[in-house]
Amino acid sequence: MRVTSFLPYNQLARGLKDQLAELTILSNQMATGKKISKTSDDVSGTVDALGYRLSLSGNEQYERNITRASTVLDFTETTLEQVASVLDSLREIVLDGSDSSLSEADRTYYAEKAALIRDHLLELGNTTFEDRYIFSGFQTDQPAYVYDAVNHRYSYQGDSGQLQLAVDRGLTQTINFAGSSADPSISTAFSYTLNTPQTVTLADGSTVTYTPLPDPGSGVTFIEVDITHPDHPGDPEYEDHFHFSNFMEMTDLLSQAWQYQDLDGTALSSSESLRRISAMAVPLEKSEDQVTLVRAELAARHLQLENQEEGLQANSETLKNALSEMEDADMAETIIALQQVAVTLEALRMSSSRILSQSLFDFLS
Amino acid sequence: MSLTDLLNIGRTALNVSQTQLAVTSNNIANAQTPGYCREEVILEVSSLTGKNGGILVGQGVSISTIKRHYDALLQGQLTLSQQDYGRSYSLSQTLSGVEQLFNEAQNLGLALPLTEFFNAWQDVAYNPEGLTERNLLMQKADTLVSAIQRIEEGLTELLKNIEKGLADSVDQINSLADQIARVNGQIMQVEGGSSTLSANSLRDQRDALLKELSNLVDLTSWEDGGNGSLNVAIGMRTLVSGTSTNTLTAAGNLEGQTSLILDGQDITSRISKGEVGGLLAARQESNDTALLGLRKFTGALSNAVNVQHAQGFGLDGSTGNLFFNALELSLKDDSSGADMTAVITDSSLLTLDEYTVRFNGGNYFVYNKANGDLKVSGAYEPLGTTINLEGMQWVISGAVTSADTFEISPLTTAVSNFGTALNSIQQIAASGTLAGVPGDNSNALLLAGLVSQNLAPLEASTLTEYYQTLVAEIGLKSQAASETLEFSENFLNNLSDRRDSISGVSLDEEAANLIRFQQAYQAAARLIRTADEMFEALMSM
Repeated sequence: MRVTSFLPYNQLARGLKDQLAELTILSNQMATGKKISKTSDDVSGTVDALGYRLSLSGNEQYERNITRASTVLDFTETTLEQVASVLDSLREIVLDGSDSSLSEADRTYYAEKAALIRDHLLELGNTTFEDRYIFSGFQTDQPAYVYDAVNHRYSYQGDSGQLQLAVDRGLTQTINFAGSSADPSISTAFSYTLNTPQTVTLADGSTVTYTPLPDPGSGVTFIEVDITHPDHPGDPEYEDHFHFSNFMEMTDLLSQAWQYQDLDGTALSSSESLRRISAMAVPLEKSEDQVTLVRAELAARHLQLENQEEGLQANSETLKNALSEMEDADMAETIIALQQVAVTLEALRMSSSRILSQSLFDFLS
Repeated sequence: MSLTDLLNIGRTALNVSQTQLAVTSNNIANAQTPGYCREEVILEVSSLTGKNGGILVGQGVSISTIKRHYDALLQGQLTLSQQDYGRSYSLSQTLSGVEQLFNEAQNLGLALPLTEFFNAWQDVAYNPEGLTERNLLMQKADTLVSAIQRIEEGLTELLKNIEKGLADSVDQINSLADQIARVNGQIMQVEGGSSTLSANSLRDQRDALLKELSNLVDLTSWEDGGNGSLNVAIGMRTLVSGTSTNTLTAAGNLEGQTSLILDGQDITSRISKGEVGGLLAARQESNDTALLGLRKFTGALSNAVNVQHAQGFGLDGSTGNLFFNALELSLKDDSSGADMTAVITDSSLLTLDEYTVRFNGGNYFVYNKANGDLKVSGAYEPLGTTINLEGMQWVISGAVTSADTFEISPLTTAVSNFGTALNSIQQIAASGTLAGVPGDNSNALLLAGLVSQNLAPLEASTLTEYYQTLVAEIGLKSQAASETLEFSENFLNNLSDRRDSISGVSLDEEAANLIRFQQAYQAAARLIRTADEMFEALMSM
């Protein structure tokens, strides 16, 4: 091949251009710490990295949701723990206070204690977390229970709303418990679920029937209590009907019964009142079971969240590693490559400066 | 044979050496001139012969020709490869600009704002009545909107630059055509149809002009054997013929895009090479892949969010509200006397396709614009034809001809019109029922879930999958373009090296020649002096 003057210059220029381009790429990798600076550097790498980043961002959101869900569930658990202990102390006084030989002072004491427990339960039912009533279903801006002075009821202002949070792709976790509900399939925190009527016989031979009456209108299920005596059919003295729909109403019934009166203040006979108190022992037990059940469900949800979080964290870790593998430049490798290019560039400059400066003209005189 | 013959021989030798020195000097002078072809003096024995007692003696030397070292085949290859280079250069430049707009490697794309928008829905789901969460959602929605609009603005700016580049190229092509025509005239004058006389420097100049033109556009050129002029054609229409030229003009077509007209014909579709070919290809890629893809993505996003959002209830109890501005149909009326109206009747049925309506023999035909599939057809009633298709209702009336077309697109304004539509954050429909207000988050959960839901208009892929595919497609095209550029650059360099090897000037060679011709000159001068001395000897006898 005939070498002309242009050739070595052009080749030098191209060599310099290539080496400088390589140098720019490498120093950019050094500066950013990333292998890829634009999609076309590595299309599948960029797209994979994009997918990893999207999954990571999704995971972060799910982890945030789980943390929130756990916090709400923790808080609910603390509240329910108190409900359980309050109900426990209520059961104790019912056991003690269903004795017919109570003095008036004893009765007043029990009545007042029951009233205190009732108010405490109301307070617990209207617990707020971050300004939201946690037992009101979706009606989080309303206290779950308010006292209706006209009807002498603790009416439920919430609904059966189940607040769910996404904890993974296509997976949600319910984070609240409704206080009461007309739907027996929903676990309620302040009323117990009775699916079929239940009958018990009291010590004095009275028969007590508990019948669940769901009332979709007010969104609660009433427990209708009928007390009759097989030996005295039709005798008003031995018959009693009343109903309740939540723990507060149950406690209120007890408190009034110890004062020998009905909810509306009408007087009850002492035997009627004592039967009422005895008849409340079963619902109380049921209530305690209910709270235990709800707490167990809560613990199960908690466990599920923890497992979910662990899974997410492990997944995020894998994704981060894969992302780093895909995107991050190997610094040692980059530095070595950078030095190699620098050496090549140096050699190119030196050799060309010596070769190109010479021509035959230099040797003619 | 006389002594004068001796002087004559000396004179021819002196002349020849002088010419050789002149050609060498010219070679040295043009060593750096692009397109210059090395010249060499070709000598021959002078044909005139003298008699010396019946013996023939040579009469000195004469110049047969000044040879231009030139390889026509290589020059042809160079022209072709210059066209390939020009195309891949402008294509790669433009596509890397498009790529930069979607640069996910630097977090410049839509992935982040998109996930943040849907994550914000999850935050609303956590606290449906929370005003902070609702405000944050609106903020994330605005960020998403501006990120998408920024990309579309970038793309439109890029497309504008392409049109400007085309207009500039047209000017350059016309100017080069004029110059080639002028040089043609000069060559015809100098060479005068002679097969031996060659206007070397003018041909070098013309080759350089042709090379520059090849870089701009794909062309065919052939030399007129009769007079040495060069004819150039682009897209099968004549640009330069001898000393006359046709002017290439840029005209805006229906789509607002530049089309190229030469000699009364639209040759746009015939140009695939050179920078112009590259710009045209880049324009198509940017429109068909990036811009359409972005609009479809945005349309699908806003429509899916709207359809779901309208089913929910806001804190103020309102329902049926759209979260983003509703999609609008844009019409392109290319008919002589017909009118058309189009409205969206059911957003949830939209497929986000673009449609073309044509007419023939009293019937209308609706085609999918992208793939040409026939969607629906029926009898056309000039008093008013109603077409119900995929959630839209079109009414066309008036006389139509088979040349008339309508184009309907829900995507044209999908990005420019994109924006949040709610009056207040109270209207954010997190609740699934009116009774569930304020704590119900079921609709917010469904909205947050849209990000991983397969959407029919996006070929049943999710928003993120579709976006990933779009980024990959753009990246792959840019990658392919820059690889082609590298290849054609190397190929062009290789050819240039070969051309330089044949036509280039070697200064060492010229320096050696300089000494050689100087010595030849000195020898010739010595010959004349010898002859002169012989004369003197003769005279002084």
